[in-house]
Amino acid sequence: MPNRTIHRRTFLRASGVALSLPTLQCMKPANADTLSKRVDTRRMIAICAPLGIHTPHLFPKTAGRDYEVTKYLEPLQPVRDKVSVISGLMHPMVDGGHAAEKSFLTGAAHPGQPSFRNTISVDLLAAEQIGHETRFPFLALSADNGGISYTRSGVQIPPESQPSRVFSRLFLEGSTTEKADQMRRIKDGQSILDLVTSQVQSIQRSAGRADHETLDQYFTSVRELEQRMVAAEEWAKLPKPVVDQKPPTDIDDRADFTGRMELLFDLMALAIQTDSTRLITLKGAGGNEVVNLNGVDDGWHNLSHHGKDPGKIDQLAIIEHEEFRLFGEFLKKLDSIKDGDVTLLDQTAIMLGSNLGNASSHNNSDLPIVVAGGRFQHGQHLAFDQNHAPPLANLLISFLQHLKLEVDEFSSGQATLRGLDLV
Amino acid sequence: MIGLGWLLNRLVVPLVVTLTTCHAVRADIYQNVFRDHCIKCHGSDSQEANLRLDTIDAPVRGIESLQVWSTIFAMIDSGEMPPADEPSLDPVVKRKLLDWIGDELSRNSDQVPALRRMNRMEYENTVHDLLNVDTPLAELLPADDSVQGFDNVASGLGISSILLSRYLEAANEAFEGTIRRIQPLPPQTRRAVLMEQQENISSVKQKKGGVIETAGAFVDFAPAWPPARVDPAHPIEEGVYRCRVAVFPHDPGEHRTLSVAVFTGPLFGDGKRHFQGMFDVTGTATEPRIIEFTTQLGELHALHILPWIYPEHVTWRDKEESRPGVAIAWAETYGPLDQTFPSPASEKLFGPFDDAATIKIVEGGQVYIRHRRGAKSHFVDSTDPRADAARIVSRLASRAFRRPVEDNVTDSFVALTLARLDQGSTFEQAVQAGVVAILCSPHFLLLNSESEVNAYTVASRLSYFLWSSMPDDELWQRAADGSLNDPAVLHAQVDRMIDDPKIERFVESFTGQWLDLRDIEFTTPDPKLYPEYDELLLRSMLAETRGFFRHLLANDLSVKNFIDSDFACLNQRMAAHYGIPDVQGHEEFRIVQLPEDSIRGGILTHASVLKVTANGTTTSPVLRGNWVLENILCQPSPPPPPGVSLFEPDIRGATTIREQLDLHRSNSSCARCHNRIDPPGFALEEFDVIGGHREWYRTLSKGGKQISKTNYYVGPTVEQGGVLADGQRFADFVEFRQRLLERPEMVASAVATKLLVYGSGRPVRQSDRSSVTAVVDATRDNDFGLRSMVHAVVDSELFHQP
Repeated sequence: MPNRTIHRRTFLRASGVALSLPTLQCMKPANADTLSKRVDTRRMIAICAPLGIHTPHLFPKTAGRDYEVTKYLEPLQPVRDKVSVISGLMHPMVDGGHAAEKSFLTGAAHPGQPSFRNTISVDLLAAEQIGHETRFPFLALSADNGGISYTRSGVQIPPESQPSRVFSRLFLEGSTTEKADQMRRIKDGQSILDLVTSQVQSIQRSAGRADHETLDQYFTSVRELEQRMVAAEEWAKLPKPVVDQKPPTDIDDRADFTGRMELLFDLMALAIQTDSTRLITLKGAGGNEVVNLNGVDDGWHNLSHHGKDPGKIDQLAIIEHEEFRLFGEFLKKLDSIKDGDVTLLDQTAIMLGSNLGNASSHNNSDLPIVVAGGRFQHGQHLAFDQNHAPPLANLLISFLQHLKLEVDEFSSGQATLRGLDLV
Repeated sequence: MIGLGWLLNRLVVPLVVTLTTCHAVRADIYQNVFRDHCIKCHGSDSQEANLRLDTIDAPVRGIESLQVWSTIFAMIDSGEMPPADEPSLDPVVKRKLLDWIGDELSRNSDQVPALRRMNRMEYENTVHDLLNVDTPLAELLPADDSVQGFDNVASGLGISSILLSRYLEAANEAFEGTIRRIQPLPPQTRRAVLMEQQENISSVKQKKGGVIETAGAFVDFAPAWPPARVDPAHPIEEGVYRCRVAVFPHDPGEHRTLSVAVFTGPLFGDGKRHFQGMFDVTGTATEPRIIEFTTQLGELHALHILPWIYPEHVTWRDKEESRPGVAIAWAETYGPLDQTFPSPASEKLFGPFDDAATIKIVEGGQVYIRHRRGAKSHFVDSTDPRADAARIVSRLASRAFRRPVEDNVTDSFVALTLARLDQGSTFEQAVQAGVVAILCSPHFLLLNSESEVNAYTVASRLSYFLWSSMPDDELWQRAADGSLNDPAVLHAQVDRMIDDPKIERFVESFTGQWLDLRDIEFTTPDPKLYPEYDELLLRSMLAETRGFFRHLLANDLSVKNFIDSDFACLNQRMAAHYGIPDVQGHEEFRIVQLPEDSIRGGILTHASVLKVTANGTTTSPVLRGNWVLENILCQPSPPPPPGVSLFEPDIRGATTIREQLDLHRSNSSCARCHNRIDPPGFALEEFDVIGGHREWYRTLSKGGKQISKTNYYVGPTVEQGGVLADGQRFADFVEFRQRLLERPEMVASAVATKLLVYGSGRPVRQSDRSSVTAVVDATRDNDFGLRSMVHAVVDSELFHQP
């Protein structure tokens, strides 16, 4: 069983004391005597905006700490000291327009080419090492379709897009019978996977099937799931965290962009707050829909291909400003939740960015990147010269090291990102 | 990067020379053509698109070389290269060159093995057919990726541990669905007379939503609040019910056929509602129309009876006309009809439950049901658990894997089941573990996992192609006795399968993906711009296109009809939308001969296609043009090659869409593709976002004339016509369509390619061109009939390769 901080409510329930906590500060050690050592739990969240971000409204003209506030950075000002905006970065050799979203967290080259094979994403790499410490090793979310987390064999992790479903898996406790049933299914599952493994191997051994990709993926997946089942058995014995929020109702209407994103941001905050997971990815919204915002009457995708038309850019800016407003609210919320002496925001390194540097021309350089939270020296515009910029993967290494993982190389990255130092 | 690839090619030159020596005679074809036509732009002085053809080596194994040659092939084949302002290739030389490239590509490509996992629809259908259950399963599984436009192609069907855990979940759900745990109620009729129900009486009294009472019936006018309540008809237990609803029209006006849609599902809340159909409202107060259908209903599920009325009544427009409405007299349900206990699914998995059997369905603990006292739950048990468990699990394994199974494979499932028994599981729980293991086994989830193709493999491929599921008993029998190897038997089976109602899965899945109809609800037209858009139109659009496709398939009509046809498959709503007279009724879609002067004909004029290629408010020639190239002509624009510097479009100062795109194409790196992409899009500008034909754009900006009784104004005029990439001009959409029709082989090979991808579950690459050509050749005498084409796909090399 992994070592972990038992959050206060669990502790109270476990000791037979039923108490209703007014606000949830679950990461606070329940008992300062028994848990003398303050646990420094680090987390990571990565968000990709699939239709890009209009960088003239994002990037300040001046670099450094005294940067002027741009339109999109305005909603982030309440937490200015905990946010950095970074310009000039890209993943080298990652191109192909929209296809580049596949490589946003992996850095794998040429995602638009037919021969493309993806590699592991930064969150799943971290999950290999710290995933067992939480009930869910990672959480891959998506506002619409498709996600940005990839396995070692380059298979996309099917993302969750229904907040209600995630909520129920994270927080809803079954009855005693349901729990007994779940425990039995875990036991059954273990022996089933054992059998499945040997069958996959025997098919692999048959003629002409030695290095078949599907079989390799099948084999790796069974092995991974076997390991997770072992952990799941342990977790199933522990009660799920109790939250005083009602289960969310999913919003199907894609035009209600604000409502849909709010549900996802709330869910992420809860998941982090209850330490249900420490690694979250989210592919944000963005399709052909005409979103319900005043002043917007064209499809979002259409607007992102604005061709410098000021009318279109104005409408696009309404939507993107809303994205940043929602993001700002999320940061403020995390910053309002105490985690020991610091806040949840201080413990969580967050990246919001896009694979498109300029959606109108579909290019993949000079990417819009905003980093918030975690133990970084923030409050700056880190401006890189595009021609001499380090790879974006260096930022991902910074994130991995922030999680206290000993990683010096990831994808095209060879070092942490210069200029973004740990406090 | 291409540069690196070239370097690698150079390094292996000695090997290439040896390999290609025997082809030297033919290889000089390409050298000569390239020297005469290409090297001005792709030679020593200039290498446009990073391509140099004076020093290029013949195709060799390896992804770099094959990709470059595939692109060369596609460019020449589509006529895009040499460009319009250069001398074109002699047709004979062009054919020779393309044949040579095609052969070389095939020779140097490894076939992608057909092995793949099922996609989620195939999974649901297969489990349903195997276990005789109807538990929804696809929604428990993640969406599948598409490759070449279809979600049944191996490389889009990745496997992750998350997916496997979902398979475990789904298999447990499916198992649960095999056991009916409570004795069904005796069937009974539950009847609701609308004007006897308090909610309806009070709605009428308070004039909510304008509802009224006429001749003892409740008249509803719109699918909005308040609902027509039929609570006494709601079944009190889950089961299959026959439902009947009595309706008649109220003040329909002269030319209107009223229609009503019925959905079933929870009365309130956000539970899923199932569409049962849209029905014409005919009859009278004394002899109402009785709508009848049979369906699965959950406990207390409601019948949602929604008036879909077109044209909608608008007070200020129709001052002189009274408001049309649907009068609903009564509704009833009769059931549950499925009275067998144990259920047929239990019988199939565990049975037979006869007197001699050691297996029994046993009464268990009490369950609380509001209206039944002392109801008992049941479970399956056995007095000879080891023997029964072994029998059940091995019987299922022998059918689930769609081929004869080796004993050791079956034994391993039996052993697992018995081990669960030994470790204290109940009989039912142990069988559950065995069943779930079978449903998570690679023998079940993978198609074509055997390395050789035999009659069983062919049977499976046929049924996944046409039914998206496992073979039925007859097909299995034809595989077992080997007769499927006889082409006559094989084709008789194909015909039988096309004539079976299960072919609807193919019609829906194939059109849903080929024509992107699955995305039709992604955007909703702006109600201010398109007030005439309603759900009746949306459902009708889908039905039109599916009906058209089904008609071509059933009657073996030419795929040229996809480009242009002199008939359409319409109901009254679609006919009104298209301005075609004399089609009465919304319920039935029928084949209608199009008037001479109608612009309709072919799927490019289908409102469904025109809607999926637009967003809710505007059309984009780029999106539509690209869509036509990719989906109809099967000549997708290649993604910008790596390293091409992207140019940022600047459309400021441009006014019309066309001028914007002219600016866009003034840059040569954009123009190369957009000269092909934009023209089909320009042709389709004559149609708006819901498929209406237009001469001017609708706009909400004041300035132009306001169209009376609407909120929109006359905007800029739609500019017609354009120039195709090969230099041919077209004056309007009709001429554009004519240009396409002049190349029937191109259309046929595009449809053939789509069918081959879907039918074989693998990508069709340039190197697989021989299979495409074979399908086209085989159907030429039947004027490229769609049904013949399906037959030809089944005969193709690609379909039969391991």
